[in-house]
Amino acid sequence: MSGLKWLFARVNLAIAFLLHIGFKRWFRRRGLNDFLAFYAEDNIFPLTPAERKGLSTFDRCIYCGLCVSECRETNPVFYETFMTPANIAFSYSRSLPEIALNGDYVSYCPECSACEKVCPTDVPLNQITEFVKSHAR
Amino acid sequence: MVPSMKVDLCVIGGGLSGAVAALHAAERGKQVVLIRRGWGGTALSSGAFDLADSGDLSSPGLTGEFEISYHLERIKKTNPHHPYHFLNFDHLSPSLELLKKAVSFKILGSYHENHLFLSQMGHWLRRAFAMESQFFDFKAAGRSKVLVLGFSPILPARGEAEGSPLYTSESIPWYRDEVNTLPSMMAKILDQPDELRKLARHIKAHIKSHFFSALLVPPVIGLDAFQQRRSELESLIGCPVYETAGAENSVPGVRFQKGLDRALSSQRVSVIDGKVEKVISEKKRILAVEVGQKEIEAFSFVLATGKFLAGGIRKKRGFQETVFGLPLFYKVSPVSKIDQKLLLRPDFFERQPIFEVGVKTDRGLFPVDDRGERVYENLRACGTVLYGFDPYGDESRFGVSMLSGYQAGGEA
Repeated sequence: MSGLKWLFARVNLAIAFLLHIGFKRWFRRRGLNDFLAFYAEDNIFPLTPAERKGLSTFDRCIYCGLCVSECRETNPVFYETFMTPANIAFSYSRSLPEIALNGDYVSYCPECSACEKVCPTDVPLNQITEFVKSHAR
Repeated sequence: MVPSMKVDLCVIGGGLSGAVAALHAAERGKQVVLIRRGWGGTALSSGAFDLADSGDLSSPGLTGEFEISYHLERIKKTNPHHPYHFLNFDHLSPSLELLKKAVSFKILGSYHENHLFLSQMGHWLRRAFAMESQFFDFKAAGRSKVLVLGFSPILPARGEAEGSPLYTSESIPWYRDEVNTLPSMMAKILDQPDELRKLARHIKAHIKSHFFSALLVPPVIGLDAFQQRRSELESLIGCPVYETAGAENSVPGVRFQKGLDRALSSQRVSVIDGKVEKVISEKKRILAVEVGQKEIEAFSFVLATGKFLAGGIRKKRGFQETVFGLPLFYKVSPVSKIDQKLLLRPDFFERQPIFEVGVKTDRGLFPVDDRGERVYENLRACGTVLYGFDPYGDESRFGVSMLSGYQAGGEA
């Protein structure tokens, strides 16, 4: 009896495996697309391995504001036009979904790296700006 | 082939002590290069300078010990490893003159007596020097009406001495509708004369300034043009305006660092942004350091990288000095021989012995190893990277940075 059970289980597994091999490609493509379409509304997107590696360095920001005092683009109307480097680093290290939405504010950044030069914790501010610009819409 | 540069002195670290060392050497006609990774402890500091203080002001009043010599003696007595034991106090006034000339704004204070400052959060601080805008004399003002203003949600604490209020405190909303407001953003906004006028109107609408003999506001009145902005605000409101002492990470520290930066460029000290990646040494001499794609050859080197905050010392498993890998000490013994648990205390408000870890030097500021021999013949260390004092708790970091920086720059 136990031998029959063993056989039954193996056959079941074999069928499942064959099905899996056969349909793997279709299912994966469709599944990923479904997934992306579902989360696109919330502005969640996949990260490349390089971006994922960089993202962990973004959260070194301690929000001290030294970059703001050196930023030439930060002006009295900055909230209508430009977000200031401190806010870029601070918000993008912590919440992925807002990256795409705030692309407009970052587009003014001339990437002069004045902010990066004074940062006491070595936050790669240019890299963040580029990352946000590439995902802006 | 890496392009190389040949100079007399190479300073590593761009904080207070590094800048003072570079400026002093440049004044003596040396060709100086300053390497820095970014702004560090000086820009993040409160911008008020301490020579010696005990740190605990138990009663928030106008009484207490203000004599600097008293605190100096106490520091020397309680801490046998403090750099004050070998630093030359004759350098104090020339180094401060150098600094005053360098930053090109008024610094007030005295070598003999501490001044009383009120911080934004309602703490009393004793400091020796500060910029003019913060130098409000609480002792002279006595019981007269002083209004300490905060921008909500921060309400300045109420101050009382012997049962009666020392000042009135009030909190008014910030006049703009930003979401996140950093002090440096506020200061940058108020650099614009139009915005300052708006703020003055806003303050006048909320408080009756003619009731008060002086108005203390958060230290955000201007960043680059702060001296003009303050006098403008005084004439707009119609009463003397002073700034409270900032906590750590405040605008006065940034103004101060910017002043140092201006001085460095006017003294033709070339500032290189980057990290020292490679050190080229022969026997007991450092020949050159590599930064980015540049090789810098120098006759002598000054290490002014600071401690943990600025990145001069790092703790991963053990402790490392990040540029030259110098031996680090805590009290008499090398830090590698000490149980690291003893260096950290569980209580947040307690003094942390870990901050006393640093580079041990002889009287000439040359770093030494555990046998007391110089590690390199042409390397001096200055500033907070020195061992034996806690730059965050001892309230002597300005004095140590100035004196050691001046000495290192003068002898190198």
